Amino acid sequence: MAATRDERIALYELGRDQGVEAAVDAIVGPADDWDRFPFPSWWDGKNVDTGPADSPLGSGDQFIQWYSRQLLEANPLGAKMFKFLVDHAPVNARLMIEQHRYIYLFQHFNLCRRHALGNLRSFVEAVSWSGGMIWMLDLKNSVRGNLNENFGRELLELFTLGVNGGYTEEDVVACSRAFTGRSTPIRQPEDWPYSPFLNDREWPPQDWKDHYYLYVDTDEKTFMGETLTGFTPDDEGEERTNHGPEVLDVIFQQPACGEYMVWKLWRYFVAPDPPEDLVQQLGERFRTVHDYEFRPLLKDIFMSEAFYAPESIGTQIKDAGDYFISCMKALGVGLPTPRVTYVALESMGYNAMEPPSIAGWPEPEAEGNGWVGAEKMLFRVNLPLLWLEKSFTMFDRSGGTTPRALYAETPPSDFRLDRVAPGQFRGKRNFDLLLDELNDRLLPFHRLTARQREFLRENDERNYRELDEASRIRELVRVMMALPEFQLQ
Amino acid sequence: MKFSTFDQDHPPLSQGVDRRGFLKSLSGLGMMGAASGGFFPFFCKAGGEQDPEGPIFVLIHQAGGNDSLNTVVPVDIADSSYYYEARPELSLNAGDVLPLEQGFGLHPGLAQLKGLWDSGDLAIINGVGTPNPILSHFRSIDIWEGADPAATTESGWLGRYFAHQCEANEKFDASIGIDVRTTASLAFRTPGNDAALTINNPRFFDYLSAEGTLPTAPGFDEVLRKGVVAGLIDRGAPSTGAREYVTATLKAALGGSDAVQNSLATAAGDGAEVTFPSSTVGRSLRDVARYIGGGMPTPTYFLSQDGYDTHGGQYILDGVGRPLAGKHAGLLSALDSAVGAFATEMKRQGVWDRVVVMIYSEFSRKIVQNGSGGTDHGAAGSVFVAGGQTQSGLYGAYPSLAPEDRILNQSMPMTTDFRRVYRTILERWFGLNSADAATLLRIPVSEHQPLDFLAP
Repeated sequence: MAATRDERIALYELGRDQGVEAAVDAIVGPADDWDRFPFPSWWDGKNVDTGPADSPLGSGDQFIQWYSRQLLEANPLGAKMFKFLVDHAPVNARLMIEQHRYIYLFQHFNLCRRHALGNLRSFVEAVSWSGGMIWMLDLKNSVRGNLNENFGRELLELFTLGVNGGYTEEDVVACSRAFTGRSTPIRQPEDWPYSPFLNDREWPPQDWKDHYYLYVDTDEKTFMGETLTGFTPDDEGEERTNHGPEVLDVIFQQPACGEYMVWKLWRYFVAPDPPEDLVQQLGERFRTVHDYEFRPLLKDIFMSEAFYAPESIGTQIKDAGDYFISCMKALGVGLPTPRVTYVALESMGYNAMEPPSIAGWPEPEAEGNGWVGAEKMLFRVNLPLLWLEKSFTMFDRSGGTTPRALYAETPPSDFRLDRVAPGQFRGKRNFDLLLDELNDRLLPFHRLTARQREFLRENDERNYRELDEASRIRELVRVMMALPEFQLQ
Repeated sequence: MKFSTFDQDHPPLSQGVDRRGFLKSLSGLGMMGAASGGFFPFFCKAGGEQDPEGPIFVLIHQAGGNDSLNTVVPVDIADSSYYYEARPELSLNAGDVLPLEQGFGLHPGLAQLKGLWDSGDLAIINGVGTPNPILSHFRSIDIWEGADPAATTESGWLGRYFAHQCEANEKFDASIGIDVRTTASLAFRTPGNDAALTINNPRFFDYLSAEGTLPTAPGFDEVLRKGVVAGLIDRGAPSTGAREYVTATLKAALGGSDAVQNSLATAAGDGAEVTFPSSTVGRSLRDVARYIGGGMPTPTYFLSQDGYDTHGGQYILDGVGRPLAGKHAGLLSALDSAVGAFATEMKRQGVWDRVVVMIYSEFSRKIVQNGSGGTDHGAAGSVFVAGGQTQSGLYGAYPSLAPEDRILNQSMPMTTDFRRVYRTILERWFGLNSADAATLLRIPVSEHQPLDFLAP
């Protein structure tokens, strides 16, 4: 999880003294700390005067900076799960109505972080009411008699069961019918009638019956073999909105649901090829024992033997978010300016506001990994120049017309040589010690080969004659961060 | 697959070698791109220059599922009444479309493609689909890119083609492709590697100097720095799995960066380039034209145009109820003007006869319009193939639109297996024999015969 060396050592010592379970509990246990990362004042459009200068409606740079700060500074497991859920049910800002774009984005990301160490079913239910998702998958247009299958299909294929999850085309239709009638109010933000996921208790809204009577398909339907009986919204004041909850009941009874999520989480946290029997076993526990709670499932994963197998260590290509965070942790630096953060992540294929599709960002496969095509690979290799050399040119997409200050403002946390290479290691005679230090810090899962060390020594001796001490060390750090091993975790 | 390594036999640097000596020693590493004649030395023994007679293949994916029925429109065929019944708002009339033949017309946004049709350079293959279609974008994309109806393959059809060529030829000039997309596709994948450089925006595609600048005229320090990284990688432990993939990609990127930048610089020096539209697909095709004009050895380019998943907002009705504007019309117009500019530029460069452009989508859309101004996922659709040697005409039977023939809840059935299109490209464009083409497509040699949109 892009842990720093000090964090890893602390965990190792805890595990040694009190057992693996204590160490795992120390990772899984801590409470959310999202309150440390409040929304900016402009988020709901009410304080546009105090908002960012580049748009009265909000700022992508500021939004991504807010998100990235949580990835870097929040409780690490919570941050990692936050990023997972943002990818699991992603929303695209471009598909939302412009006036409400940042409201939906903040609400959606807020529900992702609030459920990050919570419950899968609650998360999925919340997603079906998220304004961002209602726009993303055309739910606002899917009404009684005028069906749109977009959400119904992806709910099954991507959010819960997986493409081989045992449902048919008819089930896609039934599922889509069950989720008819979702909408978002097209009004000004100050008239916003409810904010469902800042505060779940306000659901359902006051006027739900009027709305649903017109738009929801309440007729009887069959979904995955189960009959969902028809009803009229006026039935005895029963607060029944549509068949959505019943469809979710059926979905979450399927063994495929637990297994699909375990498979996906294993790939996200561990390695691209989860052992089949383990997926089945943990999936069954996730469904029947943990009732879809994430924390005990993650504990299961971290306590499993396969988690500590050699093929699980250092065999995963970092996704762009993890790579960005790991650069900062390796160099002991903080976030760059909002503009640089935005462009850096986007250049590596990760604009959290604009997923390439509803399937989210690339899958963590070993081969054909979508995160590291040739262009992105060279961008990754060049990225440390930002902190090491204060080089900003690669972030200037506009060909030099953007005000340089937007990029080149001094980062809040500057690179300091002594954090990475303590003074006593910098001398020529202590080159081996310096290499050990950097190897530990930058490439914790790999040892440099003897030939690599020899090659670096020869190169360093030449640099020793031609470069000053700081340049020489920075050059060494950059070359080591360019190694394929730095791309792995 | 064999990958040549940087310098297995290269003697280690001895103490006291100066920069110039070190630089000289790198010339054996095969990573200096055009300078040493190897563009992509890690994949197979590749030549460093474009074959002036060789075929060029540009593949364009309409991502999201193009509404084929409103692209090649059945305005006046026996089944037309079904079309108009199924789409009370979303249907185009004979007067709206650009007439082709046999009662079909092109969407009015496709004027440039219609021009290519008129000049005999555009083939349209109708009813193209996959057996047992799955209406998931992601599975369907895997089926198309892997040329595998079960979507279980780990390699792509173009990746297998390149791997085959590398094994068959000691020196194969045309070794790889360029994936002009942001993410590497399955199409170019081979076991353990991608037979393509994935470059969407080549502006900073290089190992930058400490100042963060592009070494446009590779200087001493830049070449040296790149060499240090390459030398260090090569002295690492043997790699497998993810590390092997990362290593191969990094080597390919370092090795290919010079050729990419050199070809772009060469093309920019030309000065007479056609103006391309500023859309994303226009910019991508402009880059492809520059790679070709600048002498990149690769014969194959893959790009995609996103946005065809038109569940909603597909069309906007005008004052008299014609659905001529909206998302779908905008996408087709953007594609049309970009392909038109590309064809013009290829003609200007004198290479149009060497070019085939194929345009396809992972699936089409349902025959019926949905309730939200769009269409949901469907099955078979139409494929376009343009080029100087393309035989104009309609190929593949247009699917029946009769309600009783529809599959998967209102979708068009397939009449032409998608592998017939691939086989035509492999045999009649890249010149493979039937047996090899069938092997790469994993089909019996007697099935899925080539079509005649390219002459045998």
